[in-house]
Amino acid sequence: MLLRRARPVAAARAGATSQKAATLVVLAVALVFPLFEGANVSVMGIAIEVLTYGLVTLALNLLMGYGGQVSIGHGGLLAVGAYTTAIVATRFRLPFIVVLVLAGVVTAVVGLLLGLPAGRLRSHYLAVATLGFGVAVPQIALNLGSLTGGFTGLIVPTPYIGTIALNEPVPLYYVALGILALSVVAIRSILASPTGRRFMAVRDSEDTAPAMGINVGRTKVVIFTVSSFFCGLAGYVFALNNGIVEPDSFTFSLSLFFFAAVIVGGLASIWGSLIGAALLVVVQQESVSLGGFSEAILGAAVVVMLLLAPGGLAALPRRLRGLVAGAWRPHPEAVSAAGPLDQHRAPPSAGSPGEG
Amino acid sequence: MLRIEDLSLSFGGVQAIDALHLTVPDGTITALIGPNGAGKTSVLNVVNGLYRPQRGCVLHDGFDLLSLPSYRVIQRGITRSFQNVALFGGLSVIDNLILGFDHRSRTGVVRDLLRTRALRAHERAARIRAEEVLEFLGITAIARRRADELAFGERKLVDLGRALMPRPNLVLLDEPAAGLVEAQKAWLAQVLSRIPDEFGAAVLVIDHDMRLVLGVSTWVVVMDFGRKIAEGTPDEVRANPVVLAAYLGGGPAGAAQGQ
Repeated sequence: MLLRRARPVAAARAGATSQKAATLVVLAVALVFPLFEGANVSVMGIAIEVLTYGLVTLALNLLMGYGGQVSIGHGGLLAVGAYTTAIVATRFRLPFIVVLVLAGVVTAVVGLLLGLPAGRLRSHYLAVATLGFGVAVPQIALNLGSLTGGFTGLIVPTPYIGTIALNEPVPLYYVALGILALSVVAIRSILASPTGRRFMAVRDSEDTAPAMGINVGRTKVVIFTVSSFFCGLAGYVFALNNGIVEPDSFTFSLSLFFFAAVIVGGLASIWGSLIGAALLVVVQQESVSLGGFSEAILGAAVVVMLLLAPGGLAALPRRLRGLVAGAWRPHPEAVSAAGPLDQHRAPPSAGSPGEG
Repeated sequence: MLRIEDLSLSFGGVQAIDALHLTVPDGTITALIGPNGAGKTSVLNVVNGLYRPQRGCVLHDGFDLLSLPSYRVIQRGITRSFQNVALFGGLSVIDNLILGFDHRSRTGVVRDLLRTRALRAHERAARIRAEEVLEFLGITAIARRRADELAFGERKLVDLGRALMPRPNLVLLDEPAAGLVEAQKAWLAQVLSRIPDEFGAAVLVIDHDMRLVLGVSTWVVVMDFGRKIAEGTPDEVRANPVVLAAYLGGGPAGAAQGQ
């Protein structure tokens, strides 16, 4: 019986170690990837897109999976970051890091403004509000020609670190990888702090959160602001990777893409976000020749995942382990019957009312 | 000390609380009992800032609680548990508890991100405090479990634990014993009766289990149809015919007969 109780703890520990190992392997592969494919411009472009979209998906998952909010307008935030990059870079000669931070900060401010009304809306009302935002941003860009270049957009000037041109595939790849890695570290750090706990508290129980001193409306605004900041950073990479920032790059299907990537990858999962985005980028690349069908494939992917694998790809290993391991999990009622008094004496799964 | 004076609350045409006077002295356990729909939970919701009454005042050490938004009531040292035990299901037990402590952290996103010294000190203090509360409740073994995987009895204790985290001076408990089996109720009674001494907190508890409530409390207030129909020591209330009528007769007619 002791063994039965020890098992979940041991499994969790093994899970943490294997996840650490997996992180190192993936990071190592990502670091050496350009040594093999660096000369292939189109492959590098796709790889950078995976990193960019991975970051937006992660930012959206922070909002949806950890914050319990919904947005189908995150393409609009990516657009704000990309336009900020292009506008600042065409007018001022600033170091790349300044432009990058500006892209993040300006997008965060826009996200804060979006979060103000959104903080008062729930579920599908919020979905519609964010959808409106996502559709409006490229339209606004189209009509603010003097700032955004209107229909033709803005060509992004080449930033340099020393003599290295950052919009070359290999340097940009490493910049994107660095930004993504730092963002993952930052998001993990936020999630382990009071701010992150507040996000999850609002997600899990909006009604009891105020009793813990949580200002729910304010927390939602913070969720939108933080998520938007990371979208802005992704917008910087997006602008450099495309070379030009134009309204047509930010269609509604881009927002749909991020939403789908979160669902496919799995809510409240950092790895799931990155895997979901990578998978869908590849699927889209492969389905380009099918024309309008690529959006239908996204929609189908969401439906299939919701039906067959709720929890997304990230939850699959655990679900599979659960299927294989079978019935070690104690039945919830059994634990209730034994009661907290018996914690030290008997494992909850073995409890019965008689023992209490 | 909590003082409720002339409190009235109605929803549309329904009078939930009717001219209620109630005092909870420091360091005591006061029970609020009455049949279903008597308005007991509404009283907690008013104290907690969730409902705004039409009339009356709620004073905590002379401070007007009704001037505070709900999320700031905890800053006065007032915490509560919930009838429906809405834990933060996706979080571990220890994180649920720490959330009951987090209002003390005045840090924002940026400082949380940079893990400043103040934040690290807060996290350490929160963890130590959580371990004390877990031990007090006898649930140290479930500290790392996810809240939504817990059994009902364990959830109730975690909910209570959240309310004890910030060293409160007043704890509002909404049916802490509901749904528990006898052994768990005995443990709960023991835990409850130790709260005033070990935490220096007063308790205002609602529950339907008379044996538990009358066993732990020093003062009992009986409500029916939003009004206070009796109060006294547990022994006085036990012997009061008005109270018996309210419970057995279940209507204002029954209560009137008792008088």
